[in-house]
Formats: sequence, structure tokens, C-alpha cells
Amino acid sequence: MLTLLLALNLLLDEGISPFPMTAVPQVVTPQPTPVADDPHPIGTVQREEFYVLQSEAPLLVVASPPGLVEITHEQGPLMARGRFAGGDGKTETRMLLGDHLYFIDAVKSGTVELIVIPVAATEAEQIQRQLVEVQAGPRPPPQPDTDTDTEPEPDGIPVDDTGGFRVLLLLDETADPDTLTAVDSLRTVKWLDDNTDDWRRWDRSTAETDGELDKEEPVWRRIWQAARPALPEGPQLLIIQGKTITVRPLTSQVVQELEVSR
Amino acid sequence: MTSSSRVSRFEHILDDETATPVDGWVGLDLSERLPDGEGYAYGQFAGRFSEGLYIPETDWQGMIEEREQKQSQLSDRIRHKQLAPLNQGNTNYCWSNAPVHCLELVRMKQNQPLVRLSPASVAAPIKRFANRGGWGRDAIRWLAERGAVPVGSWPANSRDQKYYNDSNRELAKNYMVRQWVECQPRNLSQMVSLLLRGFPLAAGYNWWGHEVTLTEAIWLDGEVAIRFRNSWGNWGDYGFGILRGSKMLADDLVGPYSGSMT
Repeated sequence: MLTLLLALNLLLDEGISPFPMTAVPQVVTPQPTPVADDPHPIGTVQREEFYVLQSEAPLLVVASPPGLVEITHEQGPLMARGRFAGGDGKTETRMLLGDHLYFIDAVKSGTVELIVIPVAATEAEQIQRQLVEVQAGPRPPPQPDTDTDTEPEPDGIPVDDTGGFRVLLLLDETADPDTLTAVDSLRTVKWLDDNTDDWRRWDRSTAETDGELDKEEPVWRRIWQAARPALPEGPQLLIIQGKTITVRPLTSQVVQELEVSR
Repeated sequence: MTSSSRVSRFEHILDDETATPVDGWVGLDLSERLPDGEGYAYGQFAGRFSEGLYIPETDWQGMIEEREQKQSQLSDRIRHKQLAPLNQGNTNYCWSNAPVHCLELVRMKQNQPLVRLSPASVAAPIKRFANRGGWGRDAIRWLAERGAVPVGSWPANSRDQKYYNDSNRELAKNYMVRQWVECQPRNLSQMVSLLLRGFPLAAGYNWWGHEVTLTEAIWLDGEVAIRFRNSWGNWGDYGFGILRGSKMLADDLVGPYSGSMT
């Protein structure tokens, strides 16, 4: 899959589609009549999964009608971990290789046409269109994992019931500047304000100093007490859902990580 | 790359053409600032700028552009949260207003309840309730050891001794900053590095006899400049102005890592 994406991206300047594509199944053993689908653009996007347009050149991406999807431009390349449109419904890590990445997030169910116009376009033929079915309802549960080689997701850290959805961003100001920029962004702040019962951003070295949390709300002290012994080094993202704390590295992809983990 | 940051027509730009006040201003008084051989003067009350905080000058323009594109600048958050500028009125307490505003901003970053704090609750007791100038270390020492009182219990500019009571002294312990980082005087690299990491900074200017809060680095006409917030109410644009050229180099500079978690 990665090889295919790489090949596609290398060809983007030559008019190849920026849309995410299905993979061509690899034929491992000779078959009497091997069947291989031609790769074609993925036509469905669900809530909480990545649908990413990758391009070496800047694009204008328009959704028609508006309101069904939200489009966010990010600088690539970058590593993304989550569920991908056209994938098998399981969490996976992919390297997104284009210099310009356009994340299409499902907002409301319906059919949307994505119209992609290279910023430097001079010919109508350079405009590409793709109909995408948006499924913004609850996602069906994933199929049982029968692949014994994949590493299981780590269990969450148990905590006395916190009675809600909370997020703790834990980092020092010496963190990677890209991570600081992402954490400081209004997109992150608004997401946290809109989707959590409460959230905090703590300077890690301060939090680890005895007595600094004595006057913080009890629920946050409980969370810290439970999570602290298990925390890896470096900036961490703590997602607290009821009685469970999930810990992930805090990176510049904080909103995407939160979307997946919600 | 962006050629220039967006600057509101209401923001005052103070540069090498700006006249230096001749006399009369007694807000900032650095006469007690006794630097060591490297220019630092805060002693145990602030850590020195460390190498790990440096951001190379070659990265400044790109980082400024990214922080502006992602609305990660402190002014973005301030406007989003509608945190009004401080107004020191007819007091000479700029040297307390700037560090107290830094504390408010760091609490905002931590997503703690927005509580407006009284600069006079810090400056007045230090100056035995006289309306005198001072400097940042006096204020941050007080904030580190005793804290600031919310304006609901001590009006922002009141020098009335009745507010200096046991109840307010206890209340102030909830609003402290223990960890600060100090920069060398007139060190542009250190100043910009901290601003690109999201620090608010309390900056004292001898040329102005004044102390203000620096909120972010911007890019103006091919070089770095600084956006700051004054403590003169709605001066400029919502309190914001721009410093550039030699006028932006602070003679005294300190910023908080984090506020007390309450």
C-alpha cells in the first residue's frame, strides 16, 4: 500500500489523481485466472477516519454541496495513525508523502463532490472531480482481529471513575516546536472546548514537582496519581474516558489523534 | 513564505523613529537590577535561558508563518477567549501589570478558569502602598512566594491597605507562578526563541521607562518584529502594539513556565 502511494505521489506532477486509491491485491501464488481490480479513487469516507488528498503542488479543494465535509490543509509529509478510508477498519500508521495534504473529515451524511483545482491550473482538464459518499453516523464495530502478528493495543490505565471525557496535554516548553504550535493552535483549543468535559495543559516538569497539584481539582489529582507511574518520557497525550486513561505520544497530529481516540 | 504578518491599522508601531520620552515616566525602575557577568539578574527567582530553548534564526520566518496560519499565536487565543487588556490607570505599576498579565496568559494556556488578577495586590505591598516604579524581579518574586489576589477581592489598581488582609493573603496562594525563565538583556535570539515557543514575556524598556507583555514574534518587512500588549486599557488594538528595530530589544526580560494549578 505504501509503495503504491509513493508511486502515485511521484507522479502527481504529471496529472495523476491526488485522491486516495484502493490497493491492487498482490497475487502471491499463481492462479488460473488472477483477478486484480484496477486502482480507483476511494468513494466513501466515514466519521473518525482519514480521507487524505496528497499532492506535491498546492490545490484548491472545494466540496459541493458545502457542509458535508470539513477540509483541512496540512504541510506534508507526515506520519498519521488512525483508521483510513478504504482500509480494513483497524488502526494503522501511514506515511503521507505529499507536500500538501488535504484531510477530508466527515461532518454530515450524504454525497459530496470533491472538486480539486491545482492552484497553478491553466487548463480545465487539470480540474479533477470525485463523488464521495459521506457516512457521518456511528461507526460499526471493527471486525475481530484474526491477524496474530499484529501487536495488540496497550490496555488503558485504570482510574477511579472520572465521570466524563477529559484530556490532559503534558509537555514542557522545550518540546518540539511543531508540537507546541499544534497544541497552541485554535483548532486544538476549539476541539478540546467543544468535545471534552474539561481539559488541561500542564508543564510536565511543574506537574512532577511535589506539591504543585495540591490545589488542582480532585479529579485531575486522581488522574495524575493513576497515570504518573506509567508515563513514558517526553510529551504525552492523556485521554481519560470514565475509568480508563489512554496514553499516547503528544505530537503535531494532536487533533487527528483525539478524533480517532474519542 | 509570507512577506509580512498581518498588522491591524489600530496597532501602534514603535520603532527607531519613535521619540524617546524625555522625562516624567517612573513606571520601570531598573536601578536595582544588578546583573552578573552574563547579564542575568534574577538569581534564584528565575532559571536562566537554556540552550534547549534556542530556535535558529533561519527557522524564524517559517515558524512565524506556521503559527499565524494555524492561529497558534497568543494574540489568537487572547481574542478567542476575549481576555481584555489590563489598565494600570494612574498607577506606576507597569512592572507588576506585565508579570501579572503573563500569569493570566499562562493560566489561559493551561485551560484553568479565567480569573482576572490584581496587579496592585502585588505591587502595592512591595512598595508599602506607595505609587512607585519598580522592576520585574520584585513582582515575580512576590508571585512565586505569595501570588496575586483576584480583582473581585482586591481592585486592580487599589493601594488601599485594607485589602492586604489574611483572607486575601490566603486567596493569593492559588494564583502563583513558581517557575520563570530569564533572558539576557537585549538578546534578540533568546527573546524570539521563547516567543516562538509560546511563552508570554514581561519586558522592561529603559528607552520607554515602561514594562509591557510580549505575546509573539511576527515578520514585518523582511525582518522579525514583536507584538506586545500594553497595560493602558484599549490602547492600540485591544491593547496590542508592535515593537521593531532597536526599540524591541528589552533591557529586562522574564517569562513564566507555568502557573500554579488551581
